[in-house]
Amino acid sequence: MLLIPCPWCGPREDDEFTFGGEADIPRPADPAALTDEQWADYLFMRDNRRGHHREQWYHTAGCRRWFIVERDTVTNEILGASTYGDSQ
Amino acid sequence: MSSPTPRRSPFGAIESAQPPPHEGQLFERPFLTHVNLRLDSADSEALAAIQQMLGVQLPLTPNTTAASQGLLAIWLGPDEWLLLAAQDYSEALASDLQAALTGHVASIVDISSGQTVIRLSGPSALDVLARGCALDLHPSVFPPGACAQTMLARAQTLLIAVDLTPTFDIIVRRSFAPYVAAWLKDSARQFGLHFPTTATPGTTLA
Ligand SMILES: [Zn+2]
Repeated sequence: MLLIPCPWCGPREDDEFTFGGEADIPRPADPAALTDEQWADYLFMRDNRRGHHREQWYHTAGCRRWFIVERDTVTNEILGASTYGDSQ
Repeated sequence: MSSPTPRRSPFGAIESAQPPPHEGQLFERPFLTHVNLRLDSADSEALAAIQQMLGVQLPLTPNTTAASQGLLAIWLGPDEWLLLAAQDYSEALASDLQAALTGHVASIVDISSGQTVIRLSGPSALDVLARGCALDLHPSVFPPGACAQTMLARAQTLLIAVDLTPTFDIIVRRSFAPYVAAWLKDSARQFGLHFPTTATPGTTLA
């Protein structure tokens, strides 16, 4: 079990959350200008990093907000959590 | 003209045949007013208008509530609250909120029919809840006035600490209410509390 620190509600068990994949992937400003390959790259391609990973989580059973967790994908150690506002 | 259909609470008859009150109580608080309110917590004018109207400031600290006469404002998120008030107050509350928030971006939704409140009280209330809830609800960390949206026996719930008996209000969707009530009764049995096992969902109260 992971103990995930929701920036609002505090630490909660991972049952309460939904995983949202890698963070920091901005939506292209003008999707229509992209090639199919570029659009597919935005939609589907992820780094699958080993080690330090910034990822999105949604607090489904709690405050129902998205936020960012930093986690070591090898040890599952949680290194921190932030809101989108914090990281801008 | 036909008479209006009587209202049905999710599990009305659970009040009957309770154990002695000092040992424990489990009952529904049916038909309360539940209004979901969303607004930008950076909109200080809107917050001030709400405070003037409700007589209490919306809680901005996560997992807390704020009470005024007959109304409890419950933190649900950084821009979301549940207002819990007496029966049959939702239309008046919603229209007062709408008037107070004219010109502001806000959402006011009457969800009174969608959820209900189960009250669990007694010396073993913490143990009864602990069998299905991962949160530490001891008053030292979850004092009266604290709230938490979490899972209870795998059902989404909003828990509110009411007093040091301890007493908890457990807010659940109405379709989950009979299940959560049955689970609570089952959990309570382990601690010698025999709440009636024949709650009849749908009993007419009004
Ligand atoms: Zn949360």
